[in-house]
Amino acid sequence: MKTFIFSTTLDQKIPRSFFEALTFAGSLDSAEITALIAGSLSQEQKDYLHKAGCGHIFFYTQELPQWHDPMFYLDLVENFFAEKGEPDLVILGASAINQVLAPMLAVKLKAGYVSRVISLPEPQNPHIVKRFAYSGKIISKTEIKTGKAVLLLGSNAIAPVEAEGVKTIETWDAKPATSDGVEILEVKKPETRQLLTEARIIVSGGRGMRGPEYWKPLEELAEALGAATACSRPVSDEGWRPHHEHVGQTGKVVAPDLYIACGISGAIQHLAGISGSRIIVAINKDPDAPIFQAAHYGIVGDVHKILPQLVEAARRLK
Amino acid sequence: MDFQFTEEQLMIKQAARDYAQRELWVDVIERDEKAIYPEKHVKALAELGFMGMMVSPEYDGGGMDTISYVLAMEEISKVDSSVSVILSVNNSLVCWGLETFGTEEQKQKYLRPLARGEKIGAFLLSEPEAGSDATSQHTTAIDMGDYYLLNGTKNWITNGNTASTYLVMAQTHPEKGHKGINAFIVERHWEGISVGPHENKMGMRSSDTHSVMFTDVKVPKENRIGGDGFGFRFAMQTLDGGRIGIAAQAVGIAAGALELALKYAKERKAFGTEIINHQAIAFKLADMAVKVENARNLVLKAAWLKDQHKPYGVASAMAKLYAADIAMQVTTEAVQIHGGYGYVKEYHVERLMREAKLTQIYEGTSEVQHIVISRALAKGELLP
Amino acid sequence: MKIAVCISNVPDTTTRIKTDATGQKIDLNGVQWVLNPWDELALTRAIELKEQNTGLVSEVIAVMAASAAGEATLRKALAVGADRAVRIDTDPADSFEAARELAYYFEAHWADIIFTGIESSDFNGLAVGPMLATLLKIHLIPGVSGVFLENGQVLVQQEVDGMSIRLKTHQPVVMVVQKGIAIVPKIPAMRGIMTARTKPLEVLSPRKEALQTEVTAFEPLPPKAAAKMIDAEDAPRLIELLRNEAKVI
Repeated sequence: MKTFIFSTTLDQKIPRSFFEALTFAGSLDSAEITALIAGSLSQEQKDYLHKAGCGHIFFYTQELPQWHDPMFYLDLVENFFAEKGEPDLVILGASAINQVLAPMLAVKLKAGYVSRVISLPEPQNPHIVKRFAYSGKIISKTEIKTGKAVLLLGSNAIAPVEAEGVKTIETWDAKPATSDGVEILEVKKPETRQLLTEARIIVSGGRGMRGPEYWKPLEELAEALGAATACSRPVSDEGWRPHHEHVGQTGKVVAPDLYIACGISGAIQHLAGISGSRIIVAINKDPDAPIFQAAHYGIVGDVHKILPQLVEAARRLK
Repeated sequence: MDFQFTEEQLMIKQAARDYAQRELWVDVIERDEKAIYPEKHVKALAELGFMGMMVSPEYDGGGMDTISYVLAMEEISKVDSSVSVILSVNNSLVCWGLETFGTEEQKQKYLRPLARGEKIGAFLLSEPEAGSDATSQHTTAIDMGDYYLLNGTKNWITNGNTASTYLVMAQTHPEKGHKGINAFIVERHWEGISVGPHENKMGMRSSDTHSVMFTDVKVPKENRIGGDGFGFRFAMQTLDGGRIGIAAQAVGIAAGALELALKYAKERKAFGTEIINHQAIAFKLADMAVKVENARNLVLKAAWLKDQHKPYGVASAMAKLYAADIAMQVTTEAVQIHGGYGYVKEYHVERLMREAKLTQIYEGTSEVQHIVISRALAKGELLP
Repeated sequence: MKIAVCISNVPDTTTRIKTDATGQKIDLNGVQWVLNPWDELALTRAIELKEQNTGLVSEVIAVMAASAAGEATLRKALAVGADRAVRIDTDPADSFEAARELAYYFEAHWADIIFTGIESSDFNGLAVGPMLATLLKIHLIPGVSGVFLENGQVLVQQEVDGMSIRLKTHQPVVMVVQKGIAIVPKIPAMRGIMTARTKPLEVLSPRKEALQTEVTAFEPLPPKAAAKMIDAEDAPRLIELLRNEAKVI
């Protein structure tokens, strides 16, 4: 079964979602895996690729569009297929570009498409999948009736396994893909970015933080843990924190290994955005806050007294 | 018999709910505490068309029925009755009174801006010595030939300071008793009108309640509503409809308290389980729900009768009497369910309890509603 | 310029989702249906654009693939300010069926800008917009958090992966819109509710082609154990547990 995996790089790094997809595909005995990575990479990352476990890996190193241009990536991947043959199965990790590229590829390949896949109930059959539905409130079992299939994995659906076994790694020297019809007027790129959707640990603050001036200990904890910072909707609505930090149904849906909710009561819209997290920690002064129902660990108390203690303990770990 | 709402009625209910929960909720505690008039909300609700929602589109109104109106009143009152009373006075007293009994000229001049919500109206009946007994009006309007000369004081006037258009009841022919009373359209800015200080109320603190004094105010003849001596009937008929609005407000206060108490009971834990699993709380909630449902049905029945152009005076009195009483009961229980939290402002229910009390008093006290209902009973009007 | 907004009907977020006795279908009894929140914001922005650019934006059309149960939602779209509504009479089984039916409609009735919400809060497919653009072979701009018309040109704010990009785009174009496109959903005004009565709501027959995917069963989330509570006085123990027990740091 010809299996295709795709990812772009992010700040010279290969995103974790790529390795998730590779591990997921590697679990299928019949998969002949070909992976394409677009974008520049540090040498360290290139070296690390040998531990990715399986498959033939290709690089596309020419310039990528400055904007998030799905037509470009569709064209790129179609060129790749023209040369290497069309796959039967496409497995994509949940990066921003893949979320858009996956359904487009499904149309092009006339393949059945399922997003937010969490597992295969029949381990060797990629045509039957389990996925989250209704904002993570229920799991549905879905059957793909077409011969070809495109799966977009839910973030953190699988833990990537480090292993030898990569067959080839080479540059794919193709004609540059093209896209037109759009003119770029301005590009603002943050100096550093820790993407919420990529972050393994997120420290998040809610209205219980009382105000933007009290965020310092939360940021210190995030720094000590190598975590990204996030917030609940009221916090971004009040302008205490930027909108891109908003996690929840209408903000970002995240699924880190660890989500630490500080002073967040846990409205259903917020829980919908974090339900895929592996471990949730709740710190809140109200013992009846719904966040404790969703949490794995909880501390009832004043977040402003607790955070500095956690910062100190986290720093001691290093 | 059909208990289905139309899609449109549900849409209006949802629109009112969205506005109330999203916008009014945010600053209602602060407005209540500091008695701040909800100016921006009145403006926003006017833009949405709520200020004249029952007025015919011909006069710039929303053309909606009374059912839609009570659904909207309920949703807004779940959050803030200071706002809903402004809506109620403007819609069911001032706009309805003008549309039903005003001349074409009066409607063109006064009803249109009121229906658009650009201007706010007030209804001036109560006096320092004439509250429930509206027959004994001390305010006088002497017929001077070309105009009426208005003198006297009105009390407890909702929108007293913000209104531009007053509907004022005054005695023209004292010898005729209540049949000598007239109703007038009076503009706030006319000479001789002064407004007393804002009343520091127990509840609905951000609605704008004042006394209004008239000293030799000249009212043009064409500003009288209806024929000479029509004022008392005008006031009574208008208040029949007004009561439906206040009854809906009382239902909203009760239903709002029930929603909050239910939410709290599902979250709050005691003795190892959510308190809703304790029968003492669960049964209380069940009783509250029955009362709210009963009151709501009475209000909807009165609204339906009005929409069907059937007599609704007694039905509206029953709705107002019952809804106001259960609003008091349900809000008190909601405070009880919240325990200590219910007694602090942050949890909203103590405010709803303060608001509920007023619904037993204004637009006809509960005692007056008893009179209306018992008289109808005595006349055999209520028995099948 | 015509702006079309693809809308869908979803259970209110606070709805409890459970399956019926067969375990194969969601029990829809008592479900409160609402306009999908992202679609509602898209619709709000489309109407704002029309109001701010009279003459330039000639029409805002709300299009939906749904059974008759969806009509209340469409009429709400009309009340909020859409000029007309189209319902393709099918309950799509997956994102592709929705996209395909919408594509057939747009092939026959062109729109210059097509908005789709980033996802629907029921199936969370994230797919209708990209599929629709691919089927129609027109431009696609995902991650749209702002749309502006300036001097007849369509300017787009795209926010993805922390990047903020301003673009000028040609039409026709499908835009997948997300948070920020409008601040709060527009509440229908009385006048809008009144005029919605007389606005056209067209019902079209679906093409109904073979399904690509099928949901065969639902299952509840695995039960979660109660949270392990740590005393506030002993907060540093949390860090220790996260490292040694949960092994996440």
